[in-house]
Amino acid sequence: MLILPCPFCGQRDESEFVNAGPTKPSRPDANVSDAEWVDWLTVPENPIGYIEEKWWHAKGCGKWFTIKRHTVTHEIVTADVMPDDVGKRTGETT
Amino acid sequence: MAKFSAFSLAWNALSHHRNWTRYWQNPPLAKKYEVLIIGAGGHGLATAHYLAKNHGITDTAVLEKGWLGGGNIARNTVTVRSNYLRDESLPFFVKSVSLFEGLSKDLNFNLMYSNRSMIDVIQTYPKMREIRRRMMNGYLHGSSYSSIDVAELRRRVPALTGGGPESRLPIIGAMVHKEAATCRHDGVAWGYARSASTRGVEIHQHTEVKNLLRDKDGTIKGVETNRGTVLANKVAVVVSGHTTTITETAGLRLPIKSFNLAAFVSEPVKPLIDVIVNCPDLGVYLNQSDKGELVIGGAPDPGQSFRRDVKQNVFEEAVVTMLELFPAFRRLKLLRQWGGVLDIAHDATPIISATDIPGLFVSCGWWGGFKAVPAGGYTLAHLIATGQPHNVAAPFTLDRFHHLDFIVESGTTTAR
Ligand SMILES: Cc1cc2nc3c(=O)[nH]c(=O)nc-3n(C[C@H](O)[C@H](O)[C@H](O)COP(=O)(O)OP(=O)(O)OC[C@H]3O[C@@H](n4cnc5c(N)ncnc54)[C@H](O)[C@@H]3O)c2cc1C
Ligand SMILES: [Zn+2]
Repeated sequence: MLILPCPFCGQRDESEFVNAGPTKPSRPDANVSDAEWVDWLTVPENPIGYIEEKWWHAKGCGKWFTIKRHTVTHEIVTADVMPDDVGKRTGETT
Repeated sequence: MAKFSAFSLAWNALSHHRNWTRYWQNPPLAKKYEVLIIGAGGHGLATAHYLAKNHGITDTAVLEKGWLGGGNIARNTVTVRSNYLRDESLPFFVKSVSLFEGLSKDLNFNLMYSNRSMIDVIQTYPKMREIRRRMMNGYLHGSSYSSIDVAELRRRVPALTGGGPESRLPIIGAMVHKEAATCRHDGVAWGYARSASTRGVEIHQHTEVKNLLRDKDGTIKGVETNRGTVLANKVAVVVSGHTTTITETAGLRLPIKSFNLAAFVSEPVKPLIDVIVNCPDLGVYLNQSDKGELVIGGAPDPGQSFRRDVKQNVFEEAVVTMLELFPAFRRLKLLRQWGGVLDIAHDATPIISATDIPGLFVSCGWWGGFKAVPAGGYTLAHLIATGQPHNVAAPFTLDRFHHLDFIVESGTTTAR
């Protein structure tokens, strides 16, 4: 049973949430190379370790938030900042 | 290798089955091979078999970190089918099903291949539309998919008593895919291993690849393992959900994510369901094994995961939705549950490809890739041996991402 930390509602059961996938760096500007653009578009982080991902409290308050979760232990480290503006989020990796 | 036959069975019975020969050899690990295949799952072993059989390449070693056939090949729900959507995918899966049909004979190994049809139970109109599209495309490529009405569905699957007009999601129709089959999954791994080993291929268990090694000019040179360095001219990464853990060591980035998919089985019951039943609107599917157990699978755990168990949440959802359609199963006891790590590509179509690193090949994105084992091995062997993709797998190279030529495939997952 995974318990997720909604910034508004607190600790809630996973069944109330929708996983929205790993975070992405913001859209690169138009003059990057084709290869860099394809990489941004199609290649996600896929570590055995912590992954930064977005969740949506769909069956709760409706808030979007970002956490770091371990892909083996499911341990959750809440990111220092928890912006609900998904589009503005910049990831730390390219 | 002793040939399996009624005669060999009778002959070995005389000595109380104590003199059967081993399925595969355990030779010492050499310093260098022509081809290294990382991963002794279905795809890796099939590749080794077809490299030897079709291309005469036998200086091959298959390296496996655990034991042969202990990965997803041992963890799937054994459904073989070809009812995909895209013009690019259909010929490949049709080829795989036809190879499966002749595989027991090809490998001289009884795979208990059971052609039994799959019925998709449809409860929403968007699903109905998607599935009709698959039907029309299937006809073009020789994969049958035809609709039946609710009365015929209930006649063919009497245990399906839920989903009536009063329910949350009434059943509106169903689709039958006749070519669908089940077969003994361990047998597939053992059969390919036995055949490859007989032809001179080496299989090394408990040999974990830690790193890919490259020459100064960038070409692949070999691998670093827990048993030392092994050199090779060509290396194929065929490790299912763990692909990125290996390709990352050479700086190769791939458009795939790993997820956990799980399944569970009930206690054995009398023959009850003789087809594979798939309920895509609910995300649950099941079939009955030869032992009588119901083999049940649900939707994947939604976040990326490298776990091989089942999450309570995912398990409960599969059970609850199954009971909506099969309320009588409430009384069944569930015996075992397990999961596996699978990878899926950005467009949900598999990848069988050379890479930017000369000499390095990948076969990955095998979501629902048990059915693809024969054709996956066949075409990867062709690519390794000739340097050219086989025509039925030609659309599956990494090039499609470079050109944003995605093959968005809705037929990949049975559940949703
Ligand atoms: C619950 C479940 C149900 C499924 N149901 C179906 C189904 O009904 N129909 C269908 O078509 N497919 C199904 N699948 C998918 C199918 O099982 C996989 O797509 C397929 O088995 C993957 O290919 P494989 O057999 O080569 O993988 P695997 O058997 O996983 O082989 C990969 C091997 O690589 C090894 N390996 C990993 N890392 C290393 C390393 N560093 N060094 C050396 N070796 C390494 C692993 O130990 C493993 O043995 C299901 C999967 C699951 C988990
Ligand atoms: Zn909330």
